Amino acid sequence: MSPRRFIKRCALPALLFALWWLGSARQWWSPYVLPSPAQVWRAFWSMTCSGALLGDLWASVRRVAVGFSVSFALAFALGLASVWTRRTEYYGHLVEFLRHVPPLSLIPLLILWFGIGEKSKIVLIVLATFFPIYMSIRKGFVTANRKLLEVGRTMGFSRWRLFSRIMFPCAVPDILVGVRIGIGYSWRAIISAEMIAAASGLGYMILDAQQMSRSDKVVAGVFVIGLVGYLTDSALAALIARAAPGAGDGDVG
Amino acid sequence: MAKYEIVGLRKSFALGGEKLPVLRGLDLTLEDGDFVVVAGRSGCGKTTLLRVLAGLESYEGEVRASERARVGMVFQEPRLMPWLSVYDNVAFGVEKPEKARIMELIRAVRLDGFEDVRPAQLSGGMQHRAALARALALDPGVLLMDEPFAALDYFTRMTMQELLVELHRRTGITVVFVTHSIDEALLLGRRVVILDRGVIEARYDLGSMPYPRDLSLPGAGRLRREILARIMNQNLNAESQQSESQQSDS
Repeated sequence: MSPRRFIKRCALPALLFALWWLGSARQWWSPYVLPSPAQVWRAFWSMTCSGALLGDLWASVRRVAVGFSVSFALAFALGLASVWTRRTEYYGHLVEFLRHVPPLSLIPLLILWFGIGEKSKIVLIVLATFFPIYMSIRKGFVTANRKLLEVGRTMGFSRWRLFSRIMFPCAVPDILVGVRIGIGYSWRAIISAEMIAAASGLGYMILDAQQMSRSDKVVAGVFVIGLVGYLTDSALAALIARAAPGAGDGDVG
Repeated sequence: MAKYEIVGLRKSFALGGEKLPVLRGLDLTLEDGDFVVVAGRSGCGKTTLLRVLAGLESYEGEVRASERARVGMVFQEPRLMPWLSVYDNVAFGVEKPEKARIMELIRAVRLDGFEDVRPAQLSGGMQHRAALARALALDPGVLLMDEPFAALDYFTRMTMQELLVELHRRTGITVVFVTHSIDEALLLGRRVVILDRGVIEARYDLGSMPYPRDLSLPGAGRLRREILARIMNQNLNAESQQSESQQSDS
């Protein structure tokens, strides 16, 4: 990265940090409302040293990983089935309805149905991530280039061969976008999931700090969540750029 | 190579609840080693004829092939798989591709040295040559070409036409070639058929004109004028018929 670009990227965060630091030092606001950078750093450091932070991070990452995997498998299977059967008139409206129900509103029912253990947390993550992944995968299959599919048909390809040789490669970029969006959504859903009587995880850590009136811990937790989310997303974006450079884009002529 | 007999070929498309007939009982025989150019104004059914032969459209009537053979289709656009290299694109329809044979085809369309390149990095003419090699790799009973050079610039088109004629003469492959360019028809075809509203209106045998053709010869000029007059006339007839039917409607 060129120094110019580095400066451009860091300018705004640095400015905000300076304001935060200055405001805390001059006591423009009470430290309870927003603790100083030093206080947040101390909270972060003590949690890191005690191992509590790592434990919570691991608990959350595990839930995200399981929830996302289940969600992706479901979305892939159902997305494929919906394209294969071409019977959207039967369930299209149901999907649209469910898509607009906020998963948070289902928490009372989820607790009734799945208890307060891991299961209900995973289900909540699945609910929060299924639809964006499903829509993206479906779009990939539906918009698979018809002209390219015709090439396969003139070659007498079977349905399976049409799928594996043309339709699936055409859909790969959209599937990868679905993966990226899905991981982002599951990470964002972790707080709501861990609002259900959790005893570990970053969401639990933040709620616990709230009850203990430890704003410094809350801010530290927010930073960790944001940072991990940002890093995973950047890594995925880089991976996608390498795995499918421009596949499916532009005109295939 | 196979011989094809097309008898009473009919095809209609549904257009806003109405049936729009495109082919109305077309008869055509393709001999082994034939080079038939199908010409006509747009909407006459020439592309539909090709798509029926390629197995992309349902139809009424009969299409008889003397043996079970695959068809090699070359579309107006190259339609290469953008995620595959030239080599993999040429080998795309082949069950168990042999490296030597695929490379031979790549050489035949003069793309050697580009086998590992993705289509996006090729020029338009090179992409069309790769598409031609892909169709030939199927070892087709007939090569179907739907205005394959229409989008190319003048010089590239000329090179492609020469390449195709050379290939046809060398291998004796049967070709059905759709075009709306009369010059292209006269340059390529052993036979030229003129389509009008879904039937063959005229057939010309160009067997007496040897390849490579010189269109500046008087015979070619006469033929060109005759075909042009026929198609232009057809145009007028179609328009006057349309206005007549509109009048009778009102």
